[in-house]
Amino acid sequence: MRLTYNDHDLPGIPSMRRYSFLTLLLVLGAGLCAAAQSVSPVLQAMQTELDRSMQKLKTQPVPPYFLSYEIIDTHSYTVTAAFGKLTRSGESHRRQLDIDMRVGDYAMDNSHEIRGGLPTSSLASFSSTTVPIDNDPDAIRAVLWYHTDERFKRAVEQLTRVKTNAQVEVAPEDKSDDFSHEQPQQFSEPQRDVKVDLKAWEDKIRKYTAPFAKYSNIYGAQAILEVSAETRWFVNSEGSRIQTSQPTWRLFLVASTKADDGMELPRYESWLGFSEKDLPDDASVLKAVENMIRDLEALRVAPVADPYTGPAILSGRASGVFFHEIFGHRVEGHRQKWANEAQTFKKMIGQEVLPKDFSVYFDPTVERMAGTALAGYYLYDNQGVKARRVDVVDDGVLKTFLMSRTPIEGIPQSNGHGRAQAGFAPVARQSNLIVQVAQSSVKPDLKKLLIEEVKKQGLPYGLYFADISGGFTFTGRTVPNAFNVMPLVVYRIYPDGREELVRGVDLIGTPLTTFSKIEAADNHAEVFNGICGAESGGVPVSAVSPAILISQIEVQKKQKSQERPPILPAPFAQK
Amino acid sequence: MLKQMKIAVVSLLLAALAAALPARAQDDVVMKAMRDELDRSMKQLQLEDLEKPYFIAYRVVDSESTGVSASFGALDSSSQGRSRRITVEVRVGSYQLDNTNFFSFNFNMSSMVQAFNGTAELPLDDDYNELRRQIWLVTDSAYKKAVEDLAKKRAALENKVDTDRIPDFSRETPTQTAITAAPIHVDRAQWETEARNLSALFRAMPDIYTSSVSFSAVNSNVRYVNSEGTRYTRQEPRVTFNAHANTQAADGAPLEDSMFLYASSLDALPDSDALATRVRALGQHLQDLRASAEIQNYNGPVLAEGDAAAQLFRMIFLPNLLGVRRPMMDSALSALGARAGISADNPFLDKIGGRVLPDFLSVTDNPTLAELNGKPLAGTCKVDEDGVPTRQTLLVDKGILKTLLTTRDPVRGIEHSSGSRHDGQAAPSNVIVTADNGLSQDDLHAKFLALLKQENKDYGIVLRRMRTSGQPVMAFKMYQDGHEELIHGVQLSGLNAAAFKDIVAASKEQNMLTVEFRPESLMSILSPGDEGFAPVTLAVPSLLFDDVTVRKVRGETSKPPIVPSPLAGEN
Repeated sequence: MRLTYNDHDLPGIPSMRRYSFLTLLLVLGAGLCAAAQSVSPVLQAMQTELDRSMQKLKTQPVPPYFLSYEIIDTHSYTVTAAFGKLTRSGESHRRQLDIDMRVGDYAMDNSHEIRGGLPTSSLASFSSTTVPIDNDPDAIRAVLWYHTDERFKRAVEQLTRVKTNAQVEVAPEDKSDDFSHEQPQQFSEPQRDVKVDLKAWEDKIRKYTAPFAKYSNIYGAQAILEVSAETRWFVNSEGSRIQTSQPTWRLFLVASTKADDGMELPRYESWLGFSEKDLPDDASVLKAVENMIRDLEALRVAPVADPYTGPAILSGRASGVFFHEIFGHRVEGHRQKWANEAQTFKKMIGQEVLPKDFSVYFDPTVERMAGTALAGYYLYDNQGVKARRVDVVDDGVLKTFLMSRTPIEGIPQSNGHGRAQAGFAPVARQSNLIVQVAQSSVKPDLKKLLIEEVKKQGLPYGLYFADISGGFTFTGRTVPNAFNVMPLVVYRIYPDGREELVRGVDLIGTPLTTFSKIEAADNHAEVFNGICGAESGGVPVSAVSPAILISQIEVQKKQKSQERPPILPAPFAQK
Repeated sequence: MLKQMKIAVVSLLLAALAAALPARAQDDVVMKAMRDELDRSMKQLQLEDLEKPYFIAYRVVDSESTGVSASFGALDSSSQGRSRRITVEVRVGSYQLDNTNFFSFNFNMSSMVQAFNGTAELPLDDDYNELRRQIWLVTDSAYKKAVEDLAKKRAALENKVDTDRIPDFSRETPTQTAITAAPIHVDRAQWETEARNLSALFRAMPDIYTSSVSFSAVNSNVRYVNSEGTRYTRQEPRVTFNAHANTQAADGAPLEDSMFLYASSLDALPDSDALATRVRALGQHLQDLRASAEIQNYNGPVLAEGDAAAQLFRMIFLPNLLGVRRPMMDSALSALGARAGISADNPFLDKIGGRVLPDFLSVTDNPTLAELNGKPLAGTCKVDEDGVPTRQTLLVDKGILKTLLTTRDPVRGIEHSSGSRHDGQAAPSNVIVTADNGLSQDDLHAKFLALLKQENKDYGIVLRRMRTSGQPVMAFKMYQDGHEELIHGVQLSGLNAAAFKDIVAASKEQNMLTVEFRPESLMSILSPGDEGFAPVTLAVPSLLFDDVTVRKVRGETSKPPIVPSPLAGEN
């Protein structure tokens, strides 16, 4: 299961380079106030050391032309329980440093792609450096100093390799610069910490998982509370100086059962907010737990889906995942440049990539929508570039790509989507993906349309995807350019309107053809919040979409787990 | 005679019963859940016509840990946590041939699932039903893997001629043991202050590039039960202190040093002033090293004293004294394994009865001893991980290899466990090396100098400290007139276990060293204990080697930092 709820778990991801996955988190939100504040001693120490490094290294044969430091301070609480009993409870505080050291110039620097060699894994470029959690400028500077020196030497060495490679290989198709010119940014919002009443939450988390305990065929049932305050300090040699601070509250439920044939059947529920009061009350959570139990019981005995080609409805949440996976990853700018990427959309700017009533934009500055907080909300990206709305598809026509400070041909600047998990180098990543549908394609009753389509195609039934989890997309050149998302709750819709739950459905197909088969949408937007993992680590994202009707999708049977349900009955069931 | 034996058996049974009864009465809810699920599984766990388990063991480790670390006077991290984990062993087949000692990899299962097969997180809350549920589920998956492995192993064996097939599991007498110890209570705020203060000492040493100081305390409570009737509970408090620093010599040679202190109570740790003295000495030593001379290639006598004698023995000789069994591999994997060198057998397995050290040296592993030469021993324990009573084992007697340390996984020529399983494999406890007619330090130095003279050497190499990575960090040239010169960038070349046979002299006095013993086997790395690795104390005399190659550390090193440290104050 590639579902994650916890950023700390993500260092495992680099091995899954170029796959990405999105996980479920439902959201609520809170306000944010920006106010001027005296400069943090951490930011001051970063500035001092940055200035000193640039000054002292200036006389080197190959001096740096750019240097940035980002320190991410994470103060977090985690409470976990299973089947009503506590399994973990704790608090942690850490600071991690990321350095971007560049030698050469904006046109060609040490970040330049080396072609023809082995692809460099992001695991190799992962480096997590711990910084003291005390606001002690000298101790922090000592860490900055040592790692700056290390990074400088590495950068100089890498630039030599880059230059040699550029002479040996044929000129690249994309002759854009390696680094964009951007306006320096100054911004500071007050640092906001979180305080969690651990005792009270331990009781709540126990209470949320207690209802699962009496079911002898539910084999996993966990609730996790993850609360963190993330403060980011950023300085660069161009004059940017940024302090942002954001608390996040996440509540996550996961439970699973197994069918008699061994198929794993999981269910997830989650909530996300920017303050404690954004989380749902006990009654709402317990209601969700009840639904999960009901779904699991139903799924366990549901018939296995047959391979199917025909029309389907994707719920808003399912559609959000669908767009994130099959569309969103393909409009990440650097993928149009890197030689080993498929570059699906590279030459398609100005062309129709979606039906003409469909538009897609990414907006990290939107804090909440459809009544829920959006996980992909931020004010500045991890390269210190101001966040902004990017209209990627307008009336079906591809307009631009999501950009970090790595330019591509025709798009010389960042649009505030250079993102990374602490320890990884930022690349273009998604934020809040929002699907907008023009009125002419909005139909109030998609089910009716689906049934019409089923009848027209002479099929026994159509499919309704109520919920989808995870999923991953291959955008590389060496693997088939196909997508695979994991539907959790799928119904067959019969011509008479009857609905039947099925299990073991895998959605497959080639992306470009699937886009062209979107027929209509309803007028009810739903939010899907999650952590997306890719080469720059896990970043929080969201996808907002109405339900959509697709005239033709393809499904296959899901691979099932080898292991059968437990041999002995549950100990408490035997008494 | 027969009657006597009968009486002995009866009294043994009575003694066992007497020992068992109080333990049973004291069973807490965790132990009760373990025993009840164990009983049920032994009776009922069976997949269709496949075999039932013949052995099941549960080990539940509760650990409560506190850790604090700081650098240059500021806190890097401070944490506190609790965990409870179970490890399950399910054996299917027979003592002669079962599913273990076999390494297979199932490509249909995720590697995470496989790595964690047989282990699970248990609730921290003492809830009988919930404990039973988790134990039930983890036993179920361990049993399924066991029957699958046994089938694969039998299939693999059909294609192999096994010349010396040895049993997979030894039979041992069941025991019941309870080991109690007072838990450590840490004042975390005070540790934070102390870590800040100690790490701040490096602020005055701008030549030190990176450094850290850390404290950690773990109170572990282990509960064990197996289907043969063995049971134990073991409370074990551990405190450790670590300090580490690094720098570079002007020639670029990386220089680093660290210290590790272990104690079973807070009181046994040196006080703040003593710690400060040692941390300062660590920094000072690195600064001295920076200014020291580079080593030239050297072939000749080498004297290992202090820490270095014990470390050298631990790293080069000791691993050969462990009877670690090489697992049989899936045919697909065995080719891979052979290429990776995993299948290499311990050469000492064939040396039992043969000479491995000079006749004046003997080696004993003694977990029953609490103290030696008035100093505490860290590897002391009553039972090992399998619940097998520990005992003194004479490993090398006057230079002749007698036996190896073993677990219940027999190795060629050794049928029984020596009570030496720690962290999943055969491991030492307190290793005591003694020298017959050992020399005083002065006499040993005299002998060393005489040897140098005989070989026409101006100087010889003395090693006084080594790091676990195997590089001497305190090495000197000792000249004929007795004066010494510190050197850096030293690497020992080609020194192996066979070279220990040629040790020419040893001291009477033993150098004591306590380390965390990290097992080298693959499976142990996959399942590190929550309570940390088992501590081992070594007592090893200073050792004089006749002929050792010492050379400069090779390899590319980066140049010293271009910009001076911000702590140098010149900005």
